[in-house]
Amino acid sequence: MTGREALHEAEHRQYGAVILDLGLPDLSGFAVLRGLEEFGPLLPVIVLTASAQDSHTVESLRRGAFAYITKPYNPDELKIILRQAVDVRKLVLKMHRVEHARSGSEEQFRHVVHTAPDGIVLADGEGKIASWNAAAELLFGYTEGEILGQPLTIIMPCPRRCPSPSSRRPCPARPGGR
Amino acid sequence: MAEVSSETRFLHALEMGLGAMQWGDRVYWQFGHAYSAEEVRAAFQTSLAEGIRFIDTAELYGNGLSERLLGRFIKDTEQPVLIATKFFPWPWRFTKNALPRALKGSLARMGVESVDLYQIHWPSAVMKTELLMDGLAECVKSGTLLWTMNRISVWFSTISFYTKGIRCVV
Repeated sequence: MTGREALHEAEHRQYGAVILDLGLPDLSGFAVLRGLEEFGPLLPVIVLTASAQDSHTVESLRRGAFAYITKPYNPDELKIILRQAVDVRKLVLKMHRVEHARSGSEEQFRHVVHTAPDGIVLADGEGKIASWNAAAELLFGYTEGEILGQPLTIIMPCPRRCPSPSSRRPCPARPGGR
Repeated sequence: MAEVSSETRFLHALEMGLGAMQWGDRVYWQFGHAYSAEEVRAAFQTSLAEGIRFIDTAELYGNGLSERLLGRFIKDTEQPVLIATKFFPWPWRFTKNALPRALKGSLARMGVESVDLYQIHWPSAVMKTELLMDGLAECVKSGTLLWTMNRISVWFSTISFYTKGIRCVV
């Protein structure tokens, strides 16, 4: 396959990886590597080169190749690197989809909590308020900005808030049902 | 009439935008089966007719086809729109030049000279934020990027953007 054919294929069909020989009849291997940024932006590229010179090997990595193999190469080595390239690509895409789904799910959860008619208050492991919905704001009179990070006991009635009768203090009268 | 700055223009356009994630995606969104390029074009045209002026795409979407479709649609309309696209930090993209190279690929697919907003699509496993910022700064200096936004670490980005001379942060 020529370099131009490879670029056409990368654009129009779904592949998992590219094995690119730098010695192509029509285009330089680096030109194809550059072209793949446009025509196959999701493809890991394994470069095959007859030269072990740094200018070809390291440079191919700097220009976005996944890996390089010098000729003559061991077919098993090529298979292993190809498998790694395909799997790494799959793994990254899967992570991306999971993260996307997770953030969407979180967004839905936040929406449900914040629009719930009941007051919902979440606290962290230290008993500090971490989430406060609109109904809680109406119920207790604190805005979200005021209450986040405060101890959960702040919304408890005074007798429960204080550890012993002698240390109880009257709650300050606040408007809005605090 | 007072001149409207590009920043103001941008923020107004951001009030509502059109997402192009499903455009060209054959694997997850059944592009080519459930809907075609012509239906996507109709959605684009309807959005513009209703006042949308901001389109958000990514090189990841449809293996670059989302950007290509957007480029085609833009050519066929006289209505200017703001374009946002995204850099996908594959683990094999680890040098500072990877980001400007990827942006060049996006520009080529869309057939435009610059984008209004370039975003980091996903936390990079191998590139430090500073390196990503260097790449973004280079794009701004070269004129291929007008704005930039890091969805991962806004605070860190803000510091970096100003130290790198990038004009504005969303």
